[in-house]
Amino acid sequence: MKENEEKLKHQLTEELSRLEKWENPPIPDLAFFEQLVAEEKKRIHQQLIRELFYFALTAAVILCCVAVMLIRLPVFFLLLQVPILVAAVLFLFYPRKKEGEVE
Amino acid sequence: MEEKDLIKQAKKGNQNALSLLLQQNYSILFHYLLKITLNRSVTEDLVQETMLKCIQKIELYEEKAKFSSWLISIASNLYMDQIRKQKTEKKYNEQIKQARSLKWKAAASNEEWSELLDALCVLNEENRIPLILKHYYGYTYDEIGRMLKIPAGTAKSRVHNGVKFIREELEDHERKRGEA
Repeated sequence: MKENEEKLKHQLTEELSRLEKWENPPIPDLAFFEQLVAEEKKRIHQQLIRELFYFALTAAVILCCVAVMLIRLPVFFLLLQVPILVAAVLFLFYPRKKEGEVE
Repeated sequence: MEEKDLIKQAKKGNQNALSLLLQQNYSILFHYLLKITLNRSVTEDLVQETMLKCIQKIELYEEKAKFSSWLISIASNLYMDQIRKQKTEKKYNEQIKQARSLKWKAAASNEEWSELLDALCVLNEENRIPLILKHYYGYTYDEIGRMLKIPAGTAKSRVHNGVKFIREELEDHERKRGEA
């Protein structure tokens, strides 16, 4: 049984090594990788700027709404504090599943 | 410069160091993907995707495993994601057909395509990847588990199932040859 497994393992190694010989593409020169890295870094940077812009825009809209409410409808503003407080407490104290944790 | 120094530089944002790391590991990555996909065009796409993912996540690389192992881990997970997506889009059978392109290419260049490679083509990816990582690359079950984000026990049973499947396929081939 053990011998069979070793034989299969050996055969597998041999066959997969042959695949490498059939398909052996030339390695691109360093300039190709430098361009790839530079382009991807640029894309990541642009995406970060865009996301920060949308975040700031959303925050500004929310703050404007809250400010208008505070000036024009102070009662509603005070009522709004209740769900915000509940949400904050839940967010802080509700046990969250860690990344990679299996249920 | 040694790989360790290149990694440190790359994590600090040095683009030349990262480019050099990718170039040094290109061949390992290409051949690994070729073995698990058995398809040249899928391999080329996944090599590109893996390198992009590596550029995005280089700061998160913890240097616990070799850099090539980290790349292999990214590539394996990207491939599994692709398979899952294709299964839901019902394009999976097309990919199985494409896997035979390597076989035709081997035949065209008078290379022998063994029954074992045939069996590997039919074996599902969930078992094929751990099997290759264990028996070709020599990773431990713990390492395979970490790379594929599965428990080590699951990795072990997948390797076992893969070996069993291949053995049965080879026996089946032999039986058919005996009958003919």
